[in-house]
Amino acid sequence: MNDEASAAKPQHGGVAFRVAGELYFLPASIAMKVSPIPEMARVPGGPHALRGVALFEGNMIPVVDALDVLDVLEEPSGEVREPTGAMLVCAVVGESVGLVGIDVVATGRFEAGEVVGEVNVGGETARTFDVAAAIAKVREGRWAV
Amino acid sequence: MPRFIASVLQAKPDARRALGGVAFLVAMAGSGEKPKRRLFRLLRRGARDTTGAGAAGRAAEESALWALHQRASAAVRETGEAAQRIASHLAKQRGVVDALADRARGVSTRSGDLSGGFSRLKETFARLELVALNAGLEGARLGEGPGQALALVSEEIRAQATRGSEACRELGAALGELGSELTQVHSSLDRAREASAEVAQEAARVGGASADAERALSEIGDRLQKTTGSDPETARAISAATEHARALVGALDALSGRAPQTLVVAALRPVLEPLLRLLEGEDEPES
Repeated sequence: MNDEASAAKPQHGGVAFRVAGELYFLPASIAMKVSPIPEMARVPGGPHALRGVALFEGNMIPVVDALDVLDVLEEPSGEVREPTGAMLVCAVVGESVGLVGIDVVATGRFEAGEVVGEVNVGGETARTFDVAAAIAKVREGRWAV
Repeated sequence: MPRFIASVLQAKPDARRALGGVAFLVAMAGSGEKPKRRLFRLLRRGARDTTGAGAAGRAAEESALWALHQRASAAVRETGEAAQRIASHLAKQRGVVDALADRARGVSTRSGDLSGGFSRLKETFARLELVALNAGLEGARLGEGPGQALALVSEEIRAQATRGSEACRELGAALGELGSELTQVHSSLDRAREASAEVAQEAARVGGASADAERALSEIGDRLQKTTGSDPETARAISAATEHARALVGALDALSGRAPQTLVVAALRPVLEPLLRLLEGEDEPES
């Protein structure tokens, strides 16, 4: 790929992270902040993917485990970075949700990939993580109520 | 006995008395009045032997026996003193080992404190990394122009935070190794303390045995004195006198070949006659 072609490609700001070795991307419009994993309180009867609720900047937010949402059980291979053990706070249609079970790789502006919704992160392609689908999965999951 | 001696003592043909006279002459070279008298008595007793060789042999044996006794006594005394010195050194060594153990304990505590400090530092770097990530995210949100500088700063901070975090991890690992080394030092010091205590016990045993041996040797000395009727000083003097007597006899024998006998007899008579008179006067009845 030459410089002209590279310059022509749009860039997307956001955060790149790994879930079980797979690289994902969330745009800056959704990814609000990266924070240390807070203390969480389990929600009785909640689905497994819902790790609990946590107090974040004065608000109680649900915390979802990306590994459970994606149904990935295998151990990841070929780590790019050491896991940060961080929580990514996302805002989806006015609601905040914490995403754990991720290793944040980088933040900033990334070149758009060949396919819509993909970006290039250090020579690797990252798919956009569907937070709305993850929330829906938690909502639709088995609640013991 | 050399022929010359016999001819010199023609006036007093009793060879045994003559040998006694020679022995007295030799004894005069010694020191002290009391030992001299005892020496004189012993040599005269020896002189009554037909040849005189038996008395000389016995004297040499007694002298050797006393010399051995003295050597043994000195060695035992030296052993006892060495045992005391070892005990003293061990006490000092135990003090040093205890001080070393205290310092090792202090270092171990300090190492634990440092380990906690490194953990906190590591957490701080992790937080700094998150701050850098958030700055990068904020830069991305701001867009190409103003966000670029923030992104650059974010990357730099993150890189430094990662380096700091790795350095902390390495230092923490090194500190952990130091801790395990210190544990080994502790166990080695404990072993050294145990060994030192054992050696101290052994030194005490050696000291006791040495004291026993010294007492036994003293008793042997007393019994030796009773048995032989001599003491170390007398035995030494007798041995020396025997040597001198042999030398005198040898010298007179050599002289007999060079000077006329009459001349030698004339020369020695004034010396020997008073001695012989003295010998007769000192003669004591043998029990």
